[in-house]
Amino acid sequence: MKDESLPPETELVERLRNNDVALFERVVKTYHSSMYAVAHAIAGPAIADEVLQEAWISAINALDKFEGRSALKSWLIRIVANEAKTRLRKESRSISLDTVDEHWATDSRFTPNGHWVESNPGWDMSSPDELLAADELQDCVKKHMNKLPENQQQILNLRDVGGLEMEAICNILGVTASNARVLLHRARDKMQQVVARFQRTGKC
Amino acid sequence: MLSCKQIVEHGSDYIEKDMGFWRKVEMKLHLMICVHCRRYVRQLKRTINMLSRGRYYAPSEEQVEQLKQQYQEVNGKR
Repeated sequence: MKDESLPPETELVERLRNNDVALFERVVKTYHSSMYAVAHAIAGPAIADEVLQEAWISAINALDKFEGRSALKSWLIRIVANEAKTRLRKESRSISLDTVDEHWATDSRFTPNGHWVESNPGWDMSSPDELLAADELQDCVKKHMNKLPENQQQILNLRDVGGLEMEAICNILGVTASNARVLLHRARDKMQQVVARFQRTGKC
Repeated sequence: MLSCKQIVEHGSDYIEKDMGFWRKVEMKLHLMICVHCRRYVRQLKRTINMLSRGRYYAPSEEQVEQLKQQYQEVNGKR
């Protein structure tokens, strides 16, 4: 479901404060995925559901305090990010760029002098809506997202799926802006290849 | 002249205009003459748009029901 299907923000918040359960359900269905992506990236998959549950409860309780200075989605994302940070995963969070650099060095899409080996077929005439409506493609994207190296997956989830600003992401993950950009682009490039292959061959 | 591979390596920087003036000029020049890289940049943009709007972690019906219940409980106390 897209944001466009929800009423304008002021009306939305007013109705949520007035116990509009049907609208609340639409809000959950619209924003849950982005919120989960943030919880998953910061706190890890094992407790992401728990974090999200807590975040929704905090949000429902704080609805009266929502002043509309930011969009509702940004507000929800901030709540889930804060909740997740308090439950920050314990394991090592070191970010290594070695594998990324290695990948570019041996990228089989290019000749040794950096030209494309084969023409990159055009699927760009498919609109984002068409891509989103193709369930098999979306399943394939999700499958490959889960296969990304963890640090790339974290940043892709925080930035593109969750919609967090880069500055906030760098603070949360403790990485420099340039490292974050490299990791994010590597993940996006991989996803572009997944979509391109699917559009070309119909295979995941 | 930048190679196609260099264009691909800096695709996100180009889309997000996160680069210096001369690098941007170099990339624009390459993109003017290279259909493959133009296509790549368009596809990358579509991919990012798709990722930001996809629902990869949709809640289960059970989760939605639980949240609705909590919502109603809290609202009942307002």
